[in-house]
Amino acid sequence: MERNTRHCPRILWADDFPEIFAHAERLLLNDYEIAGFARDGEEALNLGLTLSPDILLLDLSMPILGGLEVATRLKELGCRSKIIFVTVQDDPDCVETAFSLGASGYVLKSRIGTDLLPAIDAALAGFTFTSPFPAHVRTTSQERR
Amino acid sequence: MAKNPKMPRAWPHFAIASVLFCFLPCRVGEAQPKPVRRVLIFNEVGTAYPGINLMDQGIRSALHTSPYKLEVYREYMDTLLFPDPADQQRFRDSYIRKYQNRQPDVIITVGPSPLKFMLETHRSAFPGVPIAFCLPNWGPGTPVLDSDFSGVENAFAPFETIEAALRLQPSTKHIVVVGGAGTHDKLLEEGVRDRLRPYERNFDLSYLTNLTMPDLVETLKRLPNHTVVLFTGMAQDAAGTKFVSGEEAIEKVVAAANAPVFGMNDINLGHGEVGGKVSYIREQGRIAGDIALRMLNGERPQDIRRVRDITAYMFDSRALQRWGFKESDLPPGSIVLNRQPGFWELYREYVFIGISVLLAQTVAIVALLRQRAQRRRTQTALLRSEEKFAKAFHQSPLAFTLASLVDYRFLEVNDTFARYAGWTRDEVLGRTPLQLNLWVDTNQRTTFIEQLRAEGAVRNMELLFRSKGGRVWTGLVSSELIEVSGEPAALSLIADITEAKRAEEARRESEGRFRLVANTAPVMIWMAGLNKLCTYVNQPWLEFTGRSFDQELGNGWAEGIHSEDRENCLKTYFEAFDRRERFEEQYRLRRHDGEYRWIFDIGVPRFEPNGSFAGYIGSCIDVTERKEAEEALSSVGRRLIQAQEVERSRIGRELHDDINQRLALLTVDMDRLDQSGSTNGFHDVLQEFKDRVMEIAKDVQTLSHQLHSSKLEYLGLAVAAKGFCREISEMHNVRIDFTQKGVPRNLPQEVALCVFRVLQEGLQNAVKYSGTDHFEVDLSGTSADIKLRVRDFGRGFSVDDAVGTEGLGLVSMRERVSLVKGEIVIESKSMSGTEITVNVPLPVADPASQVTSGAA
Repeated sequence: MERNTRHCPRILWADDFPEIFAHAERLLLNDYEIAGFARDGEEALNLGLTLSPDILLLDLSMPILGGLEVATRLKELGCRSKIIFVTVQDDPDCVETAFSLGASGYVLKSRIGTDLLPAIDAALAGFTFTSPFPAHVRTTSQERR
Repeated sequence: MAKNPKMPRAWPHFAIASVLFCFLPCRVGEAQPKPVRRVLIFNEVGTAYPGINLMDQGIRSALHTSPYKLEVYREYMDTLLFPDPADQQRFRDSYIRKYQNRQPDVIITVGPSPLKFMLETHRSAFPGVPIAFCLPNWGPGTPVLDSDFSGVENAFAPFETIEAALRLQPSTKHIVVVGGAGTHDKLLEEGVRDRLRPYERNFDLSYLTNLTMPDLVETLKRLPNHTVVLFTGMAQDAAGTKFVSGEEAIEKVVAAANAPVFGMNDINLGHGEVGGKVSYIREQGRIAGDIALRMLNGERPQDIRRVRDITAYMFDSRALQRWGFKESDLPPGSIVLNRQPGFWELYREYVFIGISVLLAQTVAIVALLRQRAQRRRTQTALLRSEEKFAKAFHQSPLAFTLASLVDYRFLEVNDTFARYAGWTRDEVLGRTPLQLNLWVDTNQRTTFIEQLRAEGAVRNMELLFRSKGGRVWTGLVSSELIEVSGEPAALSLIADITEAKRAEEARRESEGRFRLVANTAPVMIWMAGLNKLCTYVNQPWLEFTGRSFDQELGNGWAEGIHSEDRENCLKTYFEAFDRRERFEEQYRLRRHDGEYRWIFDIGVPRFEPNGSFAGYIGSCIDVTERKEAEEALSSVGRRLIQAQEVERSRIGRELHDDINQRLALLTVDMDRLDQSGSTNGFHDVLQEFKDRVMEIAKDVQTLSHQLHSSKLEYLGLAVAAKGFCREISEMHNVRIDFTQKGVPRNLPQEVALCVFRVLQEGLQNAVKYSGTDHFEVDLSGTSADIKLRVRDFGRGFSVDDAVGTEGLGLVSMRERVSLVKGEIVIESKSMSGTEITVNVPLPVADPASQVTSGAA
């Protein structure tokens, strides 16, 4: 209920797999404003700079520029959007790198349904969030919350 | 040579005609009166001028043959005496009036002014009267006239006249043209200058045409030697003095000139002028008269062709004699005037009698002389023979000496010996070789003399001599012991072979150098002669085949060729040899250890310095290793394809046998759940399905990661390498010590991929084959290069064997590294482990843009 009364955060989602956007709308439309979708890293970089969304959802693997590269450049250019990586990569090295670049969250695509909204909320509140990794993946960056 | 063919012959005819003429008139008159025709002749000047006179003679001689009774009127324009145009106009008017009522039937003009007069007035004053002209202008050329005119054109041949003069006086260096200053003179001079231009280059050509007669006379007296004078005519000198008769001028010129005077007109012949190719004035007159007659006979002037070039080579015999010119030097067909009868013509009979008496005496004397001549011939033959031998002795290119063997003095030497020895012949004669310090080595002298005395001859003995100047030269000496005036003497023949010996030594030295180079060269060298047979092989060849030099000569070398290659090898060689072409071929040649090695042989024709073909030279190298490497390389492609197929089938199997099966099983389980309709434990089952799906997703990701490391792309080489080491370590339960330092984050993708693949291949091989569980991986970088070292402490292997076998690992590592211009070193020793070191240079980039993974 709280969410409805507060300012509606604006979200930009960058992914080269368009089917994900249908989920995005279903998940986010009630509480957030979808500022736009980007289909590759370059578009994500441009829209990130022009739209200045509150939250930028970035896939790691995208044409032209990967998500980590986009995040690096946006930070260099002074973009203040919170960045959450949304990816299938459950590699702990990726998670580590993502947070070292200043990411606010790391959500596995297989856990979007449960983890995305908490991750966004955490980010907006100034915390970080990481999806719990499957048992076979050892990571040092679990439970950053 | 024609003897004045026209003029003297004309005289008898004229004489006979004159006699007949005395008798004819009454008979002709009685029979039939001839029709009257009027001939009007306009002359340039009066008959005091010899040209006009000669011309008139010619005209008259032609008109004599006319079938008409002719009334001949002569008028004179007198242009030299009355040059004023007003005077001339008055003359013209008066002539026109004079003949107004007595129109001529034909007009003859002699000279340019009458012709001009007619040209301007004939249509009004003498309408329809045909006009025959001669001397139409002062120079050569063709006047433009209408159809009432025809005639004879002037011809001047100054060029040919000078040519004739040069034949007579070949030493000529100066040509002086003498002419007048009058208008006509100048016109003529222009034509002459034009024609004589070709002589300007080779002769000193000058013109004395603007002088007063006294000055001219003075100048002509002092002409330089080797001069000829061409007199073109003179009507007036620079002072305005006129020479009316014309002869005056030529006589003065001839009298003054200290050089022969040649001319252009026959007018002046007989006045001291030598002659030349002269304008034949009288003949021109005759032709003009002839043309006038044809006009009288009714021929239209335009149908009568104008006549040109009436000239002839004419010379005055007295002038020729005066200058000592020979008639035989005159151009062919020349006419010689004024010839004096010769001695033969005057005293022919006396000569006959004298000769008869002489003949009788001669017969008697000849008999006596013959006897004496025979004796002399014998003596001469003897002298000649002596001379021949003397010449042979003295002028021989070989040195001859004759020396006494009693006192060793030189009795005779030829000039060649004197030249060799540096002494004059006179210095040598009478002295001994020792006195002349000729012997370099007195031992040689002793040997030479002893052998000569003992054997009576010495053949081709090489002896050293010293010439006067100290030069030491080598003589090849052959001597014969002979007897001269009862005493023994040595007749020696000596050839100076110093140069030949030097050349021989140089050749030997050069050959020695060649052999040294050939034997130390790291290639096998062979040579063949003109007959294709081997004449030389170098030391490396012999060391390779392990055979002797003699065994390889001729066709021996070919015995070592592999029987399968021999026929082709020899065919290539022989065919190239016949065409004198370079050839290259490969064949197997037996090495000293019996192994056949592949030989690469290049042969080229060689030529002597004079360009003649001298055979072949060739060099060979053992290319067995290279050939094997080529073969190995050619098999790489095949192995690559095989490897690709193996990899595909692995992925295929993985997808089909594992992932696909598990998905199928999952579908079956989901169907079963659907059909059971039970909701009991639904949530648990769903959770189980979810876990299974995520398991499959994870395996697909692993497979994809093996094929392509997305980590490498996202996180860079250092992180990816570290991750890989960790994975391997966990997978195989081994210890991998990974260190990294200063590896730039944004490496070029191909460099990062190359190093990563080498790491994958190297580490996987090490884990698989080394038999140990401890490995080291060091990755380090600078802005200039990236270094990777993968090391194990296992059993090691033979690198050479590994490359040659089916495995692609080492080959593909090397290929990858070479593609990024890097270096890879694989060191492995049995039981000491293996170390792979890769060094890849980085392209120069802006250092600011390099972010190291350490900082990330």
